[in-house]
Amino acid sequence: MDAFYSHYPFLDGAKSLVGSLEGAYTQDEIMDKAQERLKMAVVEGEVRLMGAQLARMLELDLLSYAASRMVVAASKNKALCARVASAEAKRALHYLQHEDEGRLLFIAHEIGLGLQKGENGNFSLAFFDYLRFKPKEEGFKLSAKPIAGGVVAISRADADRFVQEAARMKMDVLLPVQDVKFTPEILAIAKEMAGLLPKTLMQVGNIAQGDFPPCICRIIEDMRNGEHIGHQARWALGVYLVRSGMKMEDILAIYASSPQYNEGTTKYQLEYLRQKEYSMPSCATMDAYGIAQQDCPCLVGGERRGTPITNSRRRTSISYEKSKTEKTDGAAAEKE
Amino acid sequence: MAREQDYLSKCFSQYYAKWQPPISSVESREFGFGNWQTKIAFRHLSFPNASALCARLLRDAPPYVSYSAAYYEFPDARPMPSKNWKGADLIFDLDAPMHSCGKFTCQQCFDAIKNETIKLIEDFLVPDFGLSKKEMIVNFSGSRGYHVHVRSESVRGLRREERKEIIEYINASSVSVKALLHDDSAFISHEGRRVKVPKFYGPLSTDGGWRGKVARRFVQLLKEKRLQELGIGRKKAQELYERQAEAERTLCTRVKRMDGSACADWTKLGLEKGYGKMFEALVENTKVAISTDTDSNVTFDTSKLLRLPDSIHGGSGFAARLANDAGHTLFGAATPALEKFEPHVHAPVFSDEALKVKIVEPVPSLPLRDGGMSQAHAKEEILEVPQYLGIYLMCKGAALLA
Repeated sequence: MDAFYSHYPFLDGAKSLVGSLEGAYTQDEIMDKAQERLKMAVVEGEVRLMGAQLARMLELDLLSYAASRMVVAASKNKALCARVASAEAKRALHYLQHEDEGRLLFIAHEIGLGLQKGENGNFSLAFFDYLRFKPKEEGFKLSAKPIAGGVVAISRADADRFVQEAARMKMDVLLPVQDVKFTPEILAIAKEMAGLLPKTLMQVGNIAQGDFPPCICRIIEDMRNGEHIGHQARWALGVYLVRSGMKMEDILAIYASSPQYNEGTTKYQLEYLRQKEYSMPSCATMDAYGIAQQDCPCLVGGERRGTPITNSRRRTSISYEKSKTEKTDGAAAEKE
Repeated sequence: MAREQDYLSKCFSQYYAKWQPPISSVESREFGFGNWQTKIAFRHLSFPNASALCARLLRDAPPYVSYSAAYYEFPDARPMPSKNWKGADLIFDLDAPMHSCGKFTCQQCFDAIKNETIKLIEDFLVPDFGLSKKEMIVNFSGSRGYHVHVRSESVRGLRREERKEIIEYINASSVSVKALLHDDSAFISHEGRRVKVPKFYGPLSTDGGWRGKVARRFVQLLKEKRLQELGIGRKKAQELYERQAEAERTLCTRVKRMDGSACADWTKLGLEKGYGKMFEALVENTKVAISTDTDSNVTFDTSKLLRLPDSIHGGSGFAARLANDAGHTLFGAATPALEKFEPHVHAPVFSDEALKVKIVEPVPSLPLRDGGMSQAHAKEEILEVPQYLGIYLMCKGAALLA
């Protein structure tokens, strides 16, 4: 088998190849490989390249991608989908950087990127394609690029990044699986992978996530794991994050980890919360909602005191994984 | 003010009796009507076609009419997500900054904001983004500026962050002077002293994007003898005016830096120092002054409503007239292209019939539709003015019916 579709398994042409390999390998072989692939993606943020180019290895590699897509679909977890898509796209970049121009253009066109050959070894992109597929780094700001007549000239290195980004966007979509019955094995792997998602720390206005009270942490964790979040919990989380001074785009990013996330609805509701300046419910109210946690400093002598905001000042006994950029000077909490 | 509001409503209704909306896809747009207290008092209105919209405007004659740049499947649905967004035009809202002229916007302010609008279209939308003027409509806002609506299919699906990127490109908030100008100056030993040998490399006038833009802007200011706007001293500027051809050649001659990149050798302009500040001034001079205030910017918040072109603005009594090369006509009179559009001449849509008014606050001398100027008026004066001017003064709160 040609290594091409093993390198770029997200291309439509890979699907028929997967179909032709049905029965060639056992379910166990495929799922073991898929689990290994997913673990690399989720924990390390990258899927390692294959050293060997034996046909068997390439075929199993391709099948493991297909199986991993099913596992991600079964999880219904957007954060997991995004994490895996990013890791697979990083893998693809390694191969793209060594492709000849013709193949690069073929791959680009297959995934809907209108890349064209330019002058002097460069490439060009239509202005609207540039905007749509633009990587987020500063160096790709439109103002830094030569644009004229609706066309942006880009280098070969930039072209590789655009193809990577287009591939990532293609893979960052949960497959529609409403009527599919997944095996217990797939569902178990899906749950395991969602549990391995890194819990990164963010600075939330004046409150670091490490200072979030247990109730808020639990809501965010449940959201990331794709658990059902009730209306009161969702609302309380919104009020908390808005009153904490967090930027809207960061708040939306937290909500985006929920499989039920709808950007328009969420944004409208958060803006409404902000304009109405709702107060944070008290911890006693959170308890009545069934959201308060047992291991919270708000629980004093059997009574709930304060609000999640005021209780943010005290560190809880629950520890979370720290990100590389965590600040350890203990930011002050917001005054109510 | 109730008597005046009744009178104005009747006049606005007469205007809408012969009116047609200059927008497409009325059935997919959300509309908002204002009253005398607030510009958008009711929104989530929709109409199945242009006739229904016209009939409603004729009946209600609202002081303010707004519409959505966005197209919806269910434009009257609530909340917003239920409308099912299908795409949006790309809108730019340019307003003259507040000035000593206050609410009676002066000619200088109108000229300045018109020039910014022309710059947006001629220096950015067309040459950089490849958009065609045929895909745009431009209208006076009815107040202190202009709106540019880009209606091409290629912009409809643009997401919020993409629209924001466009604004940041146009208003230079994402432009880095350090990326435009390279200081390769070095020190050498000369007669026992360390001497600085200046070397500044910058963009070529043939470059694309912002690089070429600032270089061409410099050449334009050079030709128009406006280099002092960049903080260049009078003497140095004069030297450059005398060497104009040589300066233009310098900025289109490619030289290679140590890293192999092709630039122009700006050192040859002989500015000696202050290149950094000069480039900052050049970027300021080149950009279009559009805010990125997320609360007010209609460009990237497509849920916002904006003035319906050609509708009446209740704060001035002016119509938000179209002004573009397509030569849109209304009531048989062609509106001029943007370059020739003058709000005080082309935006008033009421008659010249005499109207008796009482001035309730000092009014400065104002431009008239025939090109002349009115007299200034003091408080308590009672006089006859052309109807369109009387309506303007009443909408500004400066006059009552006498």
